[in-house]
Amino acid sequence: MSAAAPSALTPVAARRIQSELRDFTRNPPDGCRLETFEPITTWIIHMDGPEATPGMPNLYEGEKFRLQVKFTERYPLEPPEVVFVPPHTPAHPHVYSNGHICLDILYDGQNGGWSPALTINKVCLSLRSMLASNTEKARPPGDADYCSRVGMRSPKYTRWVFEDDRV
Amino acid sequence: MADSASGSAVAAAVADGAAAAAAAAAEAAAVAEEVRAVAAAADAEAGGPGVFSGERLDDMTNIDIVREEEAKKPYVGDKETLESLMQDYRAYPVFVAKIRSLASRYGGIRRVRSDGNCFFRATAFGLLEWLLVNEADSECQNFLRTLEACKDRMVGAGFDPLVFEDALDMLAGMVNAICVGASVPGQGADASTLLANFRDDTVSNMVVMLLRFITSAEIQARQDHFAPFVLGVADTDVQTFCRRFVEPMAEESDHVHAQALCDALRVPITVVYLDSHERSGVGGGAGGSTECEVHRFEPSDEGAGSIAAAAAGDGGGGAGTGRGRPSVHLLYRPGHYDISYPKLIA
Repeated sequence: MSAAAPSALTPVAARRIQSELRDFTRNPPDGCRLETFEPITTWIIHMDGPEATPGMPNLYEGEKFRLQVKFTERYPLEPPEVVFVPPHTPAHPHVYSNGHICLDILYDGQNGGWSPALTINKVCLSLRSMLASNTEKARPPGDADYCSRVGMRSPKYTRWVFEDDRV
Repeated sequence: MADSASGSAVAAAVADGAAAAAAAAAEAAAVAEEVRAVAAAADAEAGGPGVFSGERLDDMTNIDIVREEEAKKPYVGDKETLESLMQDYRAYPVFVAKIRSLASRYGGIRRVRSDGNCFFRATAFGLLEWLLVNEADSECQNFLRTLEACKDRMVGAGFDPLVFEDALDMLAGMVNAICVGASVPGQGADASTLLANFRDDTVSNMVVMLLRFITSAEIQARQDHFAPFVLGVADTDVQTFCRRFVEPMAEESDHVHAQALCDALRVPITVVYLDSHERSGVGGGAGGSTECEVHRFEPSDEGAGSIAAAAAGDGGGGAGTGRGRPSVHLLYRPGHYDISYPKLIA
């Protein structure tokens, strides 16, 4: 659960991140583009809001978000820390204004759904689909309170409760 | 609030247990069971259907507390006699009687850290130790072929090769080192190398991770076969089960995981159940039977390992000839697996 410590990557973690970097650069997920990976343990990814689909309200088309991914030294045994970079974070019932995301696959431990079978590529696909399936732009209840309370703390220290993971 | 109150009660119980001269494992098991019940109740309260997703305010769950205690122990312990197990339970006559009855067939145990990965870690260690101790070069080659078949299954189940390749190379490397050790004394892996690998955070957990993927791939490759069993334990479809209860680290295992891994690796897994349950009516004794129940998982012909063996012209079981086939023996206490050592029968 520790925050990213770039200097202490295990050789396994370093190789895995290199492989993912190569894969992400060659086959980026739809609407995503790697902006920086300096140091290699901190990626910034550009994510376009998903296009409107028939039968769904058009909520995010044309919006642009930035995602920050920080790898820990025990990656992939531990999940990366993934947040939207404020101030422009998607208005979504599972995204706090500070960029923290309430999505089970981003966390381990009790209730968590992270598994080392996931990749950043798959995480981005899940986030895009989380946005695409939303029907109303709204922040989670208690958003302002949560943001002022956690400050700059990693979302990994928050005890999340997840509802239906299809949302 | 109720949750955090019971949390501190459990913390005290765990700390006392650790301080006691002889750790009362039976009590620890009872605490762990209670902890699970408390946590499940808290989850049901907090995360039931239709409840808002968001932040939970308690800082540390009971499971975390138990696991923090466990994290002070090695992933895989030293070999111990059944006598040490008996000491843990000396205040519990049913356990003592059951352990005594085990002693006719089992010579010892090796404790594995209770972190949710014990089934996979114990099975992996048990299998590699078998290969090492029996100097079974041909079985090492069989196992390497099995790993290739498992690789195909993982690709078929949609795993990105980059998530398993390093771990697969690492495990294959360990098996090769065992082969070298078997034919060239002084080189390759010996018992201390194997133990050091399984006590190393990265190596040990990469092996666990790989076996989780192999298990998931086996279940998905034969989902018509496994779907009814999955429904029985988790009330979900096969994909969701694998994604949520097989692939993530620290998710506990049950008989679905055990059967699938046994099938994939083509290795029988014998599990002896040690619990406080007395089977009445069996044996006709006054106190009921004090024999432990035993469950033996036998590999299916449909498993990845059997398919690999058939392709290599080794369709038969081969049991009873030479040094026999690899097998894994585990001791199960509610919620936890350790490695057990059957006595050699001449």
